Order: sequence, then structure tokens, then C-alpha cells
Amino acid sequence: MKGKVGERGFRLILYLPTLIFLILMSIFPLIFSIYISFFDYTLGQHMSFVGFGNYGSLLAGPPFWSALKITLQIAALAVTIEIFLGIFIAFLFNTQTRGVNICRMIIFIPMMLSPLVVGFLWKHMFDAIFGIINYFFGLLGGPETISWFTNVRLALLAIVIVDLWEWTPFVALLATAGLQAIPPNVMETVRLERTSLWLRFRVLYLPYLRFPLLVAVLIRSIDTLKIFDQVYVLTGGSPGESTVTLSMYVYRLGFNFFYTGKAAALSWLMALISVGLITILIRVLSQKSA
Amino acid sequence: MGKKWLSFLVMGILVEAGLLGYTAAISSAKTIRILALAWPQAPVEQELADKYFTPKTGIKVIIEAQPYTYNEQKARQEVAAGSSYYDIYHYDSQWGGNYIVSGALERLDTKEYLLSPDSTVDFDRDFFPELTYRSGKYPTIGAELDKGNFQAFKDTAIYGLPWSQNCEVLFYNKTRFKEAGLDPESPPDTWEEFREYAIKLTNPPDRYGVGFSASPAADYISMEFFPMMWSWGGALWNPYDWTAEGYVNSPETIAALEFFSNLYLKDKVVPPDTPNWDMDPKLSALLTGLVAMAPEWTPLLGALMDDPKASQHVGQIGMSVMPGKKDPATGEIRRFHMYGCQGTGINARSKNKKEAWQYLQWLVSYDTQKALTDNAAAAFVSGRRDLRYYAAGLNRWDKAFIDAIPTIRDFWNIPPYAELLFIQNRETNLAFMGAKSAAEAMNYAAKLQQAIYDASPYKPKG
Repeated sequence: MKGKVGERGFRLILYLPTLIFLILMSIFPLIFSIYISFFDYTLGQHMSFVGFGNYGSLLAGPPFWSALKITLQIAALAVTIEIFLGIFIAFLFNTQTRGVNICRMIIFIPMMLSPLVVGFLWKHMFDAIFGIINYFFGLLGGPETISWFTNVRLALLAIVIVDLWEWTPFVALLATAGLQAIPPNVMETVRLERTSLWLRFRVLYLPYLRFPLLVAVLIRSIDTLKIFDQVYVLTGGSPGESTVTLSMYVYRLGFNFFYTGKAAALSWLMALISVGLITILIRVLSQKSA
Repeated sequence: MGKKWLSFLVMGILVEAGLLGYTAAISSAKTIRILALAWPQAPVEQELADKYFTPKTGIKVIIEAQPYTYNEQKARQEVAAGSSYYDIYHYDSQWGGNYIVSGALERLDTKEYLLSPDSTVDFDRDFFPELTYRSGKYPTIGAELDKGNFQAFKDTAIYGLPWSQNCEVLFYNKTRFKEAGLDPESPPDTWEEFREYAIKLTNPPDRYGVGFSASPAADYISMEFFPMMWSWGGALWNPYDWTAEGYVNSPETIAALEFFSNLYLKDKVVPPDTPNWDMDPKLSALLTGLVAMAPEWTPLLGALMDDPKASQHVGQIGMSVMPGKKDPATGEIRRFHMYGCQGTGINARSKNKKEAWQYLQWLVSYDTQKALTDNAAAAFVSGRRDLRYYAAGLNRWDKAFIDAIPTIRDFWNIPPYAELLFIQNRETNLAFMGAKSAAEAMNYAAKLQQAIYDASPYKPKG
């Protein structure tokens, strides 16, 4: 018994550094941010308790609803297109042709890059005068100097395009895993029976893709709801406020204006919204699966 | 099991002893840390400190230069945490008010510092007031300093010494001028001429008359617009009673904004992406010849324009004072330049205040300031009276800066400046892009800014 207690104690000692790190770097900041969200606090100045005042003033202000709308627009558009495009790419590379592995590797490179790097890369590509995107538009007969970041719709579209480029491979990866789980004899049987493409997809492929796609939708939804890096680099929230997402709004409150209490309150509102939306998504998609 | 515990304990003690010993070793030599702006002068200052200050005093100096955007964030986090990690903070003029009300900066006009019999610095004797009062003293009223009424602030508290002095002037490409049939030695004198020249210099897609940093981020678009606004006779606010209505949306300000916006919307003399440009694209555009004219900070472009590694037009870029607007009443040309000076002060929570003060006295001494001026890589102009015209004799961009001093203006340095500036930037950018009319934009700005003034506990009473 004494030996077991000593062994358990020793194991606890080994866990301790990680536990202390987690408490200091994750748990304490989390709890402190809830605490500070109930105070009117500008960084470095006097704190005064306002209860739910920060939450109330955020919910009462147009900037919050505008940021929420923009965030949901980006999330809905990006995730929907990524799912369809990801499935298409997965099918495209679901062959044993020579060189397909190298192609898969190249396709997956974008998702390994830092979002900030991706943002800077695409900022140059979207440049109105020297950008390669406009160059190809010009070659195809379109206008040569599209100013992507000074038009409200185009700025939003640019952000979605960048997100698609970076994260569609992730969806393709998950879809590929689903396709590769299909037993070869089943594939052979279906091929010999010469069923229609749609029937084949619905009866054969979809059951194996369901779970990976559910995971893809959930993960991508969470990611796009908190999108920040690309927006910060590409547009900074402009033109006007047309690309200010919830994360950009938190950054602005906390790091431009130093309204730390309000920024903490908005972060928690974001967390609640994300949890709510994801819960609804899981229920809906799980029901459809059943 | 017992041996395992013992070995663990011994290891822990050894690691702890090692850490304590190391900490003791590095703190036995006095070290001061400076949170600096990543300006060209920072590395030169570090070199000079290593070469002259440290051997003489035994005090090690570590200058940590942070990019502009993150410098204020870093400093304010340190202040909020009550940190004594940094001993000296550099600060941009608009940040000063916040730093002071947060208790970040040590007051310097006291017996420990400037009023000490051992002090080698006399603020009024050593520094010319037009620029150094704005960054060093608080609170001041810009409108009084604009009139040259320095006497009104003679006894105002001092929190910082001058660190970096500069302003925006007009840079222009002489080769492009010649190509367009313009005299390369005659840059535009008025805004109307500026517009005419810009039209002649524009031949898209790879030749534009003007470059602006018209992004609403940081302070970019406002820095470009304010000199124009002031020369039209416009103003941002009434600094005596913190009123926006009738100032930021005055007919003069609106007319200036219409002129500014039309350069993009109607005349199309600026590149199409300009509303999203920060400083880097504008610098590149001027150095590559994409744009023929641009307002820019004197040391920043001055240090690059004749560097063959940075500029494709070495020796071809000229500079002049900013264009102006004829005052209808007097017929004089009213021109203004954007203030770009920073101060340096002691962290009120520093544990090395004596050493920090020693450093500041050394930094602003004649010899050190001259050494910084003499090093072209520092792109430096001194705030000292006895060196006021020295830099102007060394290079052209510093001469342009010295010539501009009487007409340099600044905007808010009050605590709520960040939100005021954000509104100003956003509305100016929207008008510039044509998303709103100039009147709509400035009327809305006046409304929002007034709400901020009224909610601020620092607003003057009565």
C-alpha cells in the first residue's frame, strides 16, 4: 500500500509542471477574463464594477451585430464551398494513377502554411496593379485593374477565396480518408453493376463520407467563426467596417482602444455563440445521418 | 522508491541553485532596458551606448526595438502589470496622455531629475520648444503651441525628453517630372498646382501622380489628410472645451476632404489600391517610380531614397515643403506639416531610475546627439537648440524638416485619442473611396467624436 501511494505521488510530481503550466497559461487567464468582463477597465487605469454592463452595451451596439453578420457570412460561404470542393478533389485523386501521391502532397501544402503567411501571399496576388489574379483576369478578357480591397463585396469575396485555398485541402484530406475506407470488393461490385453516378454516390460513397464530412464541417465552422489572421492582413476590417469579423472587433477593443473589460466580454459572447451554433449543427447533421 | 525521490530532490536543488546563481550574476552588473520604437536610430543608439555610455558608467544598456503597431500595446501591458522590466519607454506623441494618466512615466521636473543641481539637462535652455513641448510636457494645448505661446506652458509638468524629431514633407521624382514636361526644380507650391502636376504625371497602369497611405489602419490616412485640412483652414476640434461639432465638420474641413477624395475618385491620379495602402506600398511606389509624388516622413524616406539597395531612382528624388492653400483673407499661402516626434521617459516603476536618468542625460547631450546626427544610418535630427541647423547642412531631407518646423502641427494626445483617431480614419477613408460624401463622413465623425469627448473623465469642466 505504501509503495502504491509512493508510486502515485511520484507520478503526480511528474504531471505537476504541465499542470502548473496549464493552470497559469490556460485556466487562470480563462477565469480572469470572465472576471474582468464584469468591469469597466481600460488597460492600466482604474477598474470599476459594471456587472453585465459590458455585455449589454455590446449587444445594444450596431458594431457587434454587423461583425456577427459578417462572420456568419464568411463562415457559411467558406464552409459550404469547401465541403463541395473538398469532396470533388478527394474523388479526383481517388485513383491509383502514377504520380497521384505527389499531386496529393502538393494540394495539401496550403493547409500547412501559417495563416499570416497565406494572408501576405494573397495580399500581393490581389494587388490591383501588379497582382497575378488581375493579370489572369486580363488575359481572359476581363478588367485588368480590379481593386479587390476597396470594394465591399470583393473584399469579402477575397477573404473567402483565401480561406478556400488554405482549407479546402483539409476537407479533401478527410474525404479521402472516408473514400479509402471503402472495401475494394464493394467498389468492384458497384463498378461491374454499372450503376448511375448519383446512385453510386448516394448508396456507396456517402455512408463512408458522412462521418469525415461531419468532422470537417464542425472543425471548419469553429475555425471560420474565429477567423482573424487573413482578415487582419488582407483588409484590416476595411473598406469601412465591411470585413470586421467578431475576432477583429475583439482585437480592436482590446489592442487598439485598450478597453480590456469590453474585449473580454466580447470574447465570451463569441464563445457562447460558437458553442450554440456548433451544438445546433451537431444535432442537425447527426439527425440527417441517422 | 526512496532513491528515486532523493535523486529528484537533488536534481531540483541543483537546477534551482544554477538559476539563482545565473540571475545573481546578470543582475550584479547594472542593466537598463529600453522599450524603443523600431526606428533607424535605435540600432545606432545601441552602438553608441555600447561604445561610450557603458564603458564610462558600467551600466549595460539593452534597447529592445518593437514595431510601431505593437510598441504601445507592449508598453501598456507592462504598465498594467506594474512591471519594472523596462526602465525607459519611448512613446509617440499621441500615446503620451494615456501613459501619463496610467502613471507609466516618471515626472522629470523634480529635484531627482531636471531640478537636481547635478542635472546636465535644462529643458528650456537645451531644446527648441516648437516640437519638444508637445512630446515632453503634459498637459498642453496644441492650439497655443501653434501660435508660439510657449510661455503658457513654462511650468507645465515634464514627463519626457525628445527622442526622435521628424515630420512629413513632399517627396517627388525629378525624372518623372522631366518626362511629363515639368520643371524638376519646381515642385508644386499650392494644392491646386499639386493636382495639376499629378494629372500630368499620371499615365496608368504604371505611372501615377501621387501616392498616399490612405488605409484606415493605425494613423495612416489621417496623417495624409490633416496637413491638407489645416491649410484649408479646417480643424479637428476645439481643444479648450473638447468640441467636435463645427470643427471636424466645418465647411473648410469638408472642402479639403472633397479635394482629397477627388484626387482618387475623379482625377484618378492615385493607384487604385491606395485606400488600402499603409506605409510600405507607398514607400515602394515612390522608390520604384510607380508614383511621382508622395508625402512621407523625412528620415524614413531620406534614409532609403539614395540607397541603391532600396531605391530604383537614386539621386532623382527631390523634396520640398508641403503644398499650401492661399488664405482668401490675406493672400498668403497657408501650409502645414504633420508632426512625427517621439519622446523618451523613465518608467515610474523602474528599479533603476537613477541609472535611467543617467542614460537620458547622456542620450540628449550635445556629443551623443551630434554623433547620432552624423551617422546617416540613424536618419536622425536632434531636438537640441544648438544642433537645430546642423543636420540641415548635412543632407537635403533634414533641411526640408528644419524648414518645415514653424508649420508643424499635431493632433490629439489626450487619453481617448485611439477611438477618436479610429473614427477619423474610418470616415475619411470612406469619403476617400466614395462610399460617403465628405459632408456625411465628417458630420458622422463629429457626432461620434463628441460622444467620446463627453464621456471622457478627462474633459475640461465648465
